[in-house]
Amino acid sequence: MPLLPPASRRAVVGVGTVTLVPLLAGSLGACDASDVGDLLPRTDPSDGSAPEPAPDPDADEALVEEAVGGLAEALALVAAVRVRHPRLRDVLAGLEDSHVAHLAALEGEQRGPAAPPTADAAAALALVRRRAAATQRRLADQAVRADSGQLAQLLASMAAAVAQQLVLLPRRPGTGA
Amino acid sequence: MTTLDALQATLAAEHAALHVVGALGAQTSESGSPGLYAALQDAYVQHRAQRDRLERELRDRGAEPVAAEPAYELPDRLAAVPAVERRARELETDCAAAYASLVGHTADDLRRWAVEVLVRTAVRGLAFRGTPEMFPGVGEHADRW
Repeated sequence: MPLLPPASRRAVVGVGTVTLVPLLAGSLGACDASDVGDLLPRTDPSDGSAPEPAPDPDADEALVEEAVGGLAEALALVAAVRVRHPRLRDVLAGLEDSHVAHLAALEGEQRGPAAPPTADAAAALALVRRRAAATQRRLADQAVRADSGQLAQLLASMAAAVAQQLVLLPRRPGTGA
Repeated sequence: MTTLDALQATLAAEHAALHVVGALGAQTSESGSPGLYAALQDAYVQHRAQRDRLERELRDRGAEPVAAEPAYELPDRLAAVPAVERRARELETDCAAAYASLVGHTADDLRRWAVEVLVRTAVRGLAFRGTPEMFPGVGEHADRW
């Protein structure tokens, strides 16, 4: 994600939106007036107009670490299966691209390919499906737990993207979804 | 934007979806396009349930739910399958954006529901010949890739 400085781990919690990055990095200096408006505690008239607490960057940072770990693990498996099973290369390309994009959005680092657990393409595909389904559920759960609304949006969107990829994955090698 | 604002905006998107999907379904042949017909039927049921939930959430918060518009944009050629699919895709894309915003302005159970609906909406878009996205509902993020 080129707009974020690579060293600012906390900025990742700002998830590609310039508005939250300065807050989470502990500086408001780079904000313009419209950005500052987004940084102020939100007011929700539905619960008595009490201002909402500002997002907790430490809690969200831990959540991002957790999400990055899950995505990196899922990506390593998909990459390994694509290398080991050429007939699955095309059908898994979208899922791998999705994991790569999501990991990059969270400024997570990719791992080397995992060791494929089996030489059986059907079993490998089934494992990828199970891992992707678990990743999708975890991202949805992490979206609910996020303090920052913008981080919640991003994680929920990632969960939706993985769900789309799951629908398109074939059940068995050489068959349709 | 407040929770109420996000709920009202999402409800407005659901009103549009329900109206248009109903019109599209009424013009789609069950025998001629069984897949599309079934997808529209399913979408109608889902959107109706989601509209009802949003209205309940607003009333529970003492707010008057926004009303549906008198009319919504329909394709010129309602009988043309590609036009129907395109309009249905647009609706699901609009709804995905609304629910993504709702996710960002809610918490706990209501946010969990919004996440679930965002996921369902993104998947349903594929039934109308949609293509998978990197960031459903958060379009500006995809533009950065």
